[in-house]
This record gives sequence, C-alpha cells and structure tokens, in this order.
Amino acid sequence: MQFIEIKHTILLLFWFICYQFIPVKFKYIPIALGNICFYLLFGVKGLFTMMMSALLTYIGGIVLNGIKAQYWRRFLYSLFFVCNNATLLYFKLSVVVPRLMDNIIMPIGLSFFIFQTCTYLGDVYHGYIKTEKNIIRYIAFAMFFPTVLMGPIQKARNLLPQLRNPEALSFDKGRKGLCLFIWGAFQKIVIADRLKELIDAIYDNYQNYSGIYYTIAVLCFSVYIYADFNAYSDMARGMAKLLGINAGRNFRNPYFSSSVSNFWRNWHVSLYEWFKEYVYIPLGGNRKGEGRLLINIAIVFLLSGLWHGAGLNFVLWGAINGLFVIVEEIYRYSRQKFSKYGIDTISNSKPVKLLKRIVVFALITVTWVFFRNDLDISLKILKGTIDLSAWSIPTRSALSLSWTKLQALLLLVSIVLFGFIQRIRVNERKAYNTFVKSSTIIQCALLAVIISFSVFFALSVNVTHNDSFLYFQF
Amino acid sequence: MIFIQTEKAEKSSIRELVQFYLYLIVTLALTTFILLAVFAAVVLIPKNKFYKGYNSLIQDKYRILSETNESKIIICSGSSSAFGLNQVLLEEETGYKVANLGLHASFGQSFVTELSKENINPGDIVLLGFEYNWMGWADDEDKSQKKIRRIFDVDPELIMTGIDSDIKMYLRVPYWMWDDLIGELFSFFDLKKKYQGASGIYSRESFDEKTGQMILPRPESVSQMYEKNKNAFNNLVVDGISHIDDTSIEYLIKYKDYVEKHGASVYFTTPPIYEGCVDFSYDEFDRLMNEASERTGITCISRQSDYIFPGELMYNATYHCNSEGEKVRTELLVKDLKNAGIIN
Repeated sequence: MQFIEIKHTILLLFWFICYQFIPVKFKYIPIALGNICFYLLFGVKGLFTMMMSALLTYIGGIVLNGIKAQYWRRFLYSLFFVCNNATLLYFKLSVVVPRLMDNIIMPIGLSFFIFQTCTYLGDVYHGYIKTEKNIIRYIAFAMFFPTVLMGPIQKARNLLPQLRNPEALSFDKGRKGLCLFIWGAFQKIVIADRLKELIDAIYDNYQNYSGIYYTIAVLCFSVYIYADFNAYSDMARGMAKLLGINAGRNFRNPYFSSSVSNFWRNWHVSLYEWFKEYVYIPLGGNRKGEGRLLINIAIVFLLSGLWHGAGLNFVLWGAINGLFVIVEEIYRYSRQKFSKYGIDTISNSKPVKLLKRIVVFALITVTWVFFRNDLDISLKILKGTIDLSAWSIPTRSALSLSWTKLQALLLLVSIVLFGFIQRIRVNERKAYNTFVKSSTIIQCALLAVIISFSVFFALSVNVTHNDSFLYFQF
Repeated sequence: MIFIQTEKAEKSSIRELVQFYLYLIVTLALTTFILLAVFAAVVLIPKNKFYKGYNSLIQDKYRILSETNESKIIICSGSSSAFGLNQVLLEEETGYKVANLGLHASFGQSFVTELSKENINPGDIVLLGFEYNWMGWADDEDKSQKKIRRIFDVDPELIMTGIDSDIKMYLRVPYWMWDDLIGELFSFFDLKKKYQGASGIYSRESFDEKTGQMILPRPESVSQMYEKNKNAFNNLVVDGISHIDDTSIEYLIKYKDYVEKHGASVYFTTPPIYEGCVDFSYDEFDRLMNEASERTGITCISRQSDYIFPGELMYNATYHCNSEGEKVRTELLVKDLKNAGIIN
C-alpha cells in the first residue's frame, strides 16, 4: 500500500477516526491490527515472513530477560541478532545466488523492519528498556506501519514507551501531522515523480544520449532521491504524529553539508544511527586508534552498500562514500596534527564553506550514479558527462517527454520552492511556528493550494509510469 | 480538578482541530472551484479552436443523437463506422433514423457508449461495432501486474479537441474520465496555441454537418492509398488476446442493463477490416465475439469473416472503407439485422 492511493486513504481515515476513540492504554491494539492489514495489502506471503521475524526477536527479548549471566546474554544476543539479519542477508543475496526456495518473496520494507527489530534486541540487551511481553504491543512496534516501509528506523527505546502511552491527539499535533503529510505528498507527486520521468527517459535509453543529457539526469537524480525519500519520511512522521507518536526526523538538510561525513550524519539519520550503534561502536569506533577507525568506517559503508542491495553497484557506491569519509578523516587527523605546530590548513570562511558544500554535493551526486545504474552503465554515463565534445543544447523533444513548456516551468518553480522550504526547515520548530502564527485562513489556503497543485500534477502524469517510492525496493 | 481541567483542555483542543480541518475542506473546495474555472477558461478561450478538425464532428453526432426522438439505430463505434456506414441507405432499408456516433476508436469505446446514453428511447436499437482495441490481455501477460481497463482507456486529447468549447458535452463525460481530462489541461493549452486547422479527409469538410455522414468521395482503394498511409495499416493482434478483461465485461453488462431499462435493445456487430491486416485464422474473431456475447449477454448479429474486405473496398487504414466498401458494409449490416429478426 502506498499512502497516496485514494481508496486506501479513505480506509485509513476511517481507521484513524476509530483509533481516536480507543482508550490510551489499548491504542497499541488498533495499531497492531492496522500493521497486519497494511501488510496484507502486499500479500500474505510477505506478512508471514515478517511475522516470523517479529516472533524471533520477540522470543529473543524474552530469552534475554530470563538470562542473567553476562557471557550467555552476550552470546544469545549475538545469536538472535545474527539470525534476524540472516533473513535479510538471504533475501539480499538471492539476487546474486539461486534461491533455495523459489516461492519466498522478499517482503517490502524488510530491510527497515529487520533493523528496527534489531534495535529491540539491542535495547533489551543493554537494559535500555524492559522486555516487551505483550506480543500485540510488540507487533505494533515491530511493524509500525507509518515507518516500516521506508523508515525512519525506530529505536525500540523511543517507540515502545510511546506505544505504551501514546500522546493524545491535540490541535497542534493534528495540524503538524497534517502539514507534514501534505508536504510529503507534494514532494513525492510534484517533484519526485516528475523528475523520475525525466531521469528514466535518459537512463533507460542511455545509449541514445550523451553529454548534457547525462549531466541533467545525474543532477536531477540527486534532487529526485532526496525528494522521494524525504517525502516518505515526512508522510510517515505526519501519520505517526496523528497517532500520538513522535517518529523523529530522518533528514536534516543533507545537501547543505560541508563534508561527506556530515552529509551522512544528516541523510537517512536513522540508518546512520543504526550502523553507528550496532556496527561502528561494537567494532571499537574511534577508541582503538586511527587505523582501526578507518577500517571501521570502511566496514560500515560497505555494509551500508550491501544493505541497499547485493549488486556490485551498491557495494561500490558504499565503498566510494566510505573512501570519501576516510579521506576526510585523514585530513581532519592531519589538520589536528598540524594545528599543534601552529599551522592551520584551510580557513572556514563563508566562501570556503560554500565551496565545500558545492564539492560535497558534486561528490555525492557522482556516487548516486552508481546507486541508480549498473557498474558499466554508470561508468559510461560519468565518462559522458565530462566529454564536452558531446555536449549540445538540450531540447524537450530529444527527451521524449510529453511535458509542455508550462509543465517544465512549474516543475522548476516547484523544485526551487522545495529547496527553499527544506532550507528553512533546518530549524523546523521555528519554521513551523512562523507558519502557525499566520491566520487560520492563510494556513488553510496554503495547504489547500499545495494539495490542489499536487492532485493536479498527479493527474497530469503519464499513467504508464511507475511512481512507487524508490526506497520501497529496499 | 486538574484532571477535569486537562480533560476540558483536551476536548477544546480537539474541537479546534476539527474546526481547522473543516476550514481546510472549505478552502479546498474553493481552490477546486478555481481550478475548474481555470479548466473552463482554457477550454473556452479561444472558442471552437478545433472546429475544423475531424474530432469536432463528435459534437454534431452528439447533437443529432440528442435531437432524434423517432425510433433510431445508434451506432457506437470508432472510425470504422465513420468511413464504413451509409446512413441514408441504412435508414431507407430499415425504416429507422440513424445516429452514428462512430468517429475515432481512440476516443475510447466507453466514451462513446456513455455519450449514447444522452438519448436512448423505447424501440431504439444500439449497435456496438467496436474495433478490437477494447479487448483485454494475452496469455503471456500477467494481468495482476497490469492496470487492465481497456474499455475505459480514453484519449483525453482526442476527447478535449473533439468536445472543444462545448461545455454542456463535458457534463456528459463520466466522472472516471475527469482525472484524465484535468491532467490533459497543460497539453491541451499547448495544442490550442499551436493548432493551425485541418483539411482533407481528416477534417470537418469531409462530413455533412447536418447528418454526421462522411460525404467526401473516396474512390481510391488500398493499392493507391497504402504507400501514403503505411502506419495506419496495422496488423491486428487479436489472435494474441486470449481473454477479454473482466472490467470491460462488467461495464458492458451494466450498459446492456441501462439500454434495456430504457426500452431499447443492444447488439454487437463487427467492423469492416482490410484482409491484408489479418494474418491469422478468422475463427479467432468468432471465438472472441462468442466470448464477449456469452459473458455480457449481448448478442452478436454479425460474423467478422463476412466483414473482412479486400483492398478494393478499403481505403486508407485497417478499418476504413472507401465509398464502395461503405455501401457493401451497410448492405451487409442490413442483412444481419434482418437475419437476426431485429428489423423486417
């Protein structure tokens, strides 16, 4: 189920209204039921896999609760952790090795689900939370439908207490939840889906293009993946807020980062924190010397690439990003060393910061090419972008899109608006407070315009185009 | 006391939220109204831009249907009936008036059947002479993966350039087509700016506006027209379509009920097809039309094999008759109507 299908939205609305009348201490029950129904829309086989995995970690939590000996706790925690991730590994590797059983379908959102249930094991093991004995509440956590498909990955210590005692719906929460959802839908329908048409037109027929067209596709993909992923996160947060749950931000203006490390701290924040807590820190983090730190960084990024897909392009994507972060770490380390001798390397003035941001954006944009395409196609495209002899003035007709000039212009305006809004969301609370300070009519008018614009754009889409969220495949 | 105050505050907060949502719904209704006004403005300004075009004949055909209250034969079809029906001959032979909605199959067959509902009266005969674009999937297509709605496939550009500035006709367009029309607005606006007019066979001048009959003489046959119109002679792939999709069948069942509730009767007939576009057994057509009849309950009064014409009777496309072919097709249709006992 995608959030934007109308009949499902109506069903969801009905469910949501009923949810408000359920006493607080039982609110986890409709959430658990909602999770199951949500997954059933994708098929019973997918639900079965998820339930088995949920059961595994549920049992894991109970087992850990019953064991006091530290050695055995560590052993069992590791066992359950590895078994849980083995499910994910099996499906990821089934792309490259023959499946043992042909009829198993990778449930949609499995990657997010597995990582989320791992946080439960980790939090119980470390004593951050008590074992959840109520299996229905556990299912409400494990398969929390607003976020299970594309994140943000919820930590058990954040979500379970909220499920035990969700906040009551208030005017402010109801309004903010709606705003987030509407803004997310706008990003998806108006920006991400339109850009995907353009990107697919070029990438899927890359042999017919070169030069400027590759550059257009490469740049647009950077905007597209951010809009698409952030759209889902905003919609998920919005829905969670309407349920009285705070789901946490997943993006903090990553394209304004002045280093690649900072970019990854601000992009898909929940995944970054997961790898930090469950891979990087257990490996020793930065506590075992500079050499080990660099190895740990490399491992994290390789695994992150693998998490996205077992294909060589994803692993390479992860490796390249890891390399960038390693180079930055080496530079930072060197700078620390030099500063002891009174030598400062590069200043941090505004122009320098701007230049850094541009460089980081360019580097990340290059890596996205591998994220989207197979290795050989990626290399051809990157080579093509720097082949200036193949550059020419781009034309709409060459792109085989059915867009009119007006549609293209509106898209450009929308992208600028998107960039502007995302920028002011750096301080989301302040931005939101500015919005709510305006009169109710203005607030409603703005929201109504965004909704109408989104619906209008959705209707003008090419109906044969696949408009599912990019990260659904993970 | 604190509990009561908290509960009061919560209820007040919820009331405020409901109020906010209501304001939003009202504002949304206003913006929708504004969008519709923009739609109307794009459609109306300038007025009748596509008047000279082929598609605009749908307005005349619709008008003829609305104004004909005597017992009539209503033809729901595509261009096979624009090129392949002699209305005067049909009227003389049957004693029925003819309202021929056949113009362009790519309007979408359901668009035409929905238009026909404008004026169906007791005693009327509705003939569905669909070209085969309304049929469903082939064996090797995974129907669960595709959005199969063939009879509902409409071309919003054709509809909008056909209806043009006739706002009243838009009200006849069923609600499920409106999303396509609204989505087409950008392209329609663009097209309106660029449109230069039309002439020749694919223009208004080839029709009698009063009767909707194609009057431009078409003495040529395939041998003279093929080279100029190669793209229009598509080999039919009907033999690859093993089943008719359920949504099309469900729609036709409902349509049949509608027609019969209004005291009329509905039948399938078959379009004329150039034999050079059929490289499979004609039995395939019988199989499909039998399936259509059995599943919808709509009798098919024609056999496709009777309507597969040689090049001498056809004109510039798979389904298009020349002047001679138009006469032959009409005579065959009259014969089918008589054989089926529908007329004397």
